[in-house]
Amino acid sequence: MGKYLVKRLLLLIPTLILVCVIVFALMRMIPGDAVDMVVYNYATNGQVITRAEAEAKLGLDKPAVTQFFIWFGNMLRGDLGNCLFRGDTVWSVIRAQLPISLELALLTFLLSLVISIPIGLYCAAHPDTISDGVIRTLSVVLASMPVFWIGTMVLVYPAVWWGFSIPLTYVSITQNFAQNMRMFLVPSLVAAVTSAGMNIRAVRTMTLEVMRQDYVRTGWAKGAGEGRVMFHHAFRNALIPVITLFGGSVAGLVGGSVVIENMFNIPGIGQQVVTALNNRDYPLAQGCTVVFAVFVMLINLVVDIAYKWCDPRVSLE
Amino acid sequence: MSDRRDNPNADERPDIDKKPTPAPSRDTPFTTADMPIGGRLVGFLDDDIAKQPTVLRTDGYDILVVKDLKMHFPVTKGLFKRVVGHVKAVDGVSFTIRQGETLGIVGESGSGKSTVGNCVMRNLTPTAGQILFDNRDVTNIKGKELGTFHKYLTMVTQDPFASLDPRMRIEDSILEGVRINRLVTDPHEQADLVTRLLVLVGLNPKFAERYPHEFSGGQRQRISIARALALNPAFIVCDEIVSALDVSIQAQIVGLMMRLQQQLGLTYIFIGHDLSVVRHISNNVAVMYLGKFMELTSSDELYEKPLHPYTQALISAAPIPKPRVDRQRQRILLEGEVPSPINPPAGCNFCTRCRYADERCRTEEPALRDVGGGHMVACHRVAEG
Amino acid sequence: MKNTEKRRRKNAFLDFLGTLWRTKKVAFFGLLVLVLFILVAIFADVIAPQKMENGLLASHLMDAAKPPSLEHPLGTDAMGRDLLSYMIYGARTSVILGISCTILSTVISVIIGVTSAVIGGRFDLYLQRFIDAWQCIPGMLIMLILMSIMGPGMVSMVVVLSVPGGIGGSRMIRSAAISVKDSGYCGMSKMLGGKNVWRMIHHVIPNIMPLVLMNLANSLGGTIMMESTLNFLGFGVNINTPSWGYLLTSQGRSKMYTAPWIGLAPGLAITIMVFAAAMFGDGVRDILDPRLKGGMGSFSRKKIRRIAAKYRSRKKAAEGTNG
Repeated sequence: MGKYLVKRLLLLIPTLILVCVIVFALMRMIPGDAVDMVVYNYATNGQVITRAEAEAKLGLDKPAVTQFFIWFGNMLRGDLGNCLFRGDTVWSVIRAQLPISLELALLTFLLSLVISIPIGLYCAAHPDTISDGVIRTLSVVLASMPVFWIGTMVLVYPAVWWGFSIPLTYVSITQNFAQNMRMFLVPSLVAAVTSAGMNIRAVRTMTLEVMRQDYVRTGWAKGAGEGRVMFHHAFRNALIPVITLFGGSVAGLVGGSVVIENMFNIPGIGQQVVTALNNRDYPLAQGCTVVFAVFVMLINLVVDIAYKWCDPRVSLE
Repeated sequence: MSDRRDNPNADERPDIDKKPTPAPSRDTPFTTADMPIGGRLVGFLDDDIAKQPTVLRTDGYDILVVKDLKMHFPVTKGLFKRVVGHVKAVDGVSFTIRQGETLGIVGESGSGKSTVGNCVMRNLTPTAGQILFDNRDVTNIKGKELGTFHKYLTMVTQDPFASLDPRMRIEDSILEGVRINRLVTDPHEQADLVTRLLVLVGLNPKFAERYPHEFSGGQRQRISIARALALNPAFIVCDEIVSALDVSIQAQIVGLMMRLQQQLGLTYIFIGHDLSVVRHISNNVAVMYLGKFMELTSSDELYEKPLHPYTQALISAAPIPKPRVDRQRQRILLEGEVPSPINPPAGCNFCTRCRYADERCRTEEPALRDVGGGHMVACHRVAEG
Repeated sequence: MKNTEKRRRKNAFLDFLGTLWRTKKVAFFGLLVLVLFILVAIFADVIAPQKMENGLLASHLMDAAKPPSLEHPLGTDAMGRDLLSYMIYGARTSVILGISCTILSTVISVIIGVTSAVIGGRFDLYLQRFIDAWQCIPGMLIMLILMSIMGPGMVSMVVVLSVPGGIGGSRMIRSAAISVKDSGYCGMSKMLGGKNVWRMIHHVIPNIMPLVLMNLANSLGGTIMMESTLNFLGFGVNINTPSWGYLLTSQGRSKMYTAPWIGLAPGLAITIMVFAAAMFGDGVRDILDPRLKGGMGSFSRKKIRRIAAKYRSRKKAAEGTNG
């Protein structure tokens, strides 16, 4: 296990470097000249600078490779550069908004687990019954509905009917728990329900797959009770693919948070990225993307470790 | 013996110790023109070979000479793939096969017999040693030359279910090599070739249109053989081709291989773990243990007068199809496990399980040497006898 | 000879449809719905009550946000355009983009996955490391960044919807291709002189075809969804091109209460289309890979219980006779 951990952690380094290279290269390709924007920015503040000066300010006068290493080196020191439009550093913006996105993602993840695992197990225990069919059909319907559509309806109708609206200003969970939940519960529930549609079916399929195995048949044959067979024999073995599934869904969750945050107007990184991309604020967009990628990398790490813990046979190729 | 092969050369048993026939060394690369066996494909198939057996040139020259073949696989450890040892799958094996004859290689699983086959096929590049095919050094050839080489030397493998593409019709599987090498391009000629090959291996030519899942293991093995024959090879490496089959089918396939050898003048390396099957088809049999030949002699001699303790144990383990005799015979039971090929014993490889082993066996490695009449044995104790 | 081959292929397709009809009615209807949407998209100009002029649907602000009526079966939108016509033209964007991008992304997956598997070695290693890193960046962000690079429009949508998905999907294709590549027949083909390209075309691709088709059918829904999501976020096709996602974001949201039909129509259309695609995908998967089917196979719990009960009663009977 220790060896595996060391190997897995060492693997993070090349992945991180590659992620940074990809993000950096993609950002460079976005058209729209940042230099012009800086010049324009200064001009609106009453300062006049030349293009060359602006280039120097952005570090764009150096070759791309050098730029990358400067950016990468600074990033390792925790300096992601300055926003082009807001006066802050990128890191300060991200630090303010990361907890919001993390809370949303975590809440969504937990809700999705809480919804899909029991329902999926129920379906697996009663396959091909009416309730199973209804749940499966419903879950596909849920997964087929665009999250932004449900979100819009959830935003509009309760507000009109019951005057319920989601608060616009963020309050941290320690300050005011009720207010915080008022803000996060509905968006994460919407996200969780739509992703649960897929997960219910996956949990069901995987548990059923395991239940077809010989060792589960032995469980039934030796007269073990339903609960014992379901949990002791079937679910524990189905856990491995389920972990993979939920781990894999995290990247989708993070991507989904872009939609959710934009729709519910939650000031998280997902919303920030869209704004930054629209404003062509490269350093900010770059920083946000890298932070997201690091988050996904860490989740993958946790999933891999959990995987190893569940199934000792797993090894790195 | 009635079950002996009906070879026209049967009485001229080869002498293993006979020096390889000297031939002008040619270090020119392989070309299709100057091979000694067979004509090119189409012309060759003009006669209906299934009806009229054609014995091709069988002057018994040494078609394959293997000298001190070694195949070591590195064992790596840790993050940086440090090499901590070698699996000595094949560790110094030499043999000679004459054209038109069969060398059988027997041994238990893990003894390196398949590795020998794969080295000869050049699917693996040996760590050391030399392989001469038709007096040309093929030890290190690659690319185009290897491709040409594989037209003369093909292989049939063990698992008849894995060796045929389930999504390819039999016809396409058989013709694959021909199409890759563009030997026959005309569709009618190709169809003709498939028909002839299927007849040759004893299958209904109508099977050409079908898919592998419609066939039994034995039939699939026949198809594999037909595919190997499509390139009109001179030499076939048969890697445990009957091990996965029922006993009754085994006999049929072995019979087929023997008939093909006569009709087409083929040379075989026949690898197997069943001594009685291997003996049936082989002129000479080599017994392999832990990457080395323990004994190498003509198959009758090996069966009737086994000299190496390991061979004796192997033969005593094989059932005799006469219950009364079978019950009375004495079995030699081997104790212990095969030692790891990473770290073989210092002296004789077999010394850990040999009941005759003495001090000399544990320290000094016995060489494979002639103890009379071409009977080669690697055992210190036999030398005296 | 060619004729028989053609007939065989046609039969295979018909066979497939027949199997779908016999065993998976829902999947068959899913396919029907998809075909219907495709037909609507193709014949949009013929069906739509209000025709496009110069690539635009004319707005009639006098008729803005009218509820459904005989004249406008789905009502009109906030700019007075006939909603049905807008939806029909919008189907063009969704259906054409959805289907073409799904096919394209599967093709990309196959090319990357199969090449990586067959060539192997260093190439495979480095490519997989790259894909590892690529997979760490959430797909949504990559799509948004790519859209920013290429600007709104049909062409960029095609690239954005197919390339990231294609790279991600190559993983599954690669692992399947590796198992084919390691098989006996592929090794034999290599021995017979088959080069990488030969083995790819003649062995690897035909043998992973069921998986490829499954992948294709299963990712259709996701692609359609992603297309509308990008349009919803404002990173989609040109704003003048009718699109369901864009209709939702530009008008559906603000008029959700005052003119609910504007938000309802595109949302429902997307849901129906994705649902149909999902059903079809499920059916295809069940037919091509029966192992993943929901059913319990021959060892159902009931059957085992029955066997166990039989065993118990027999044992009891035996004890009875003994005692």
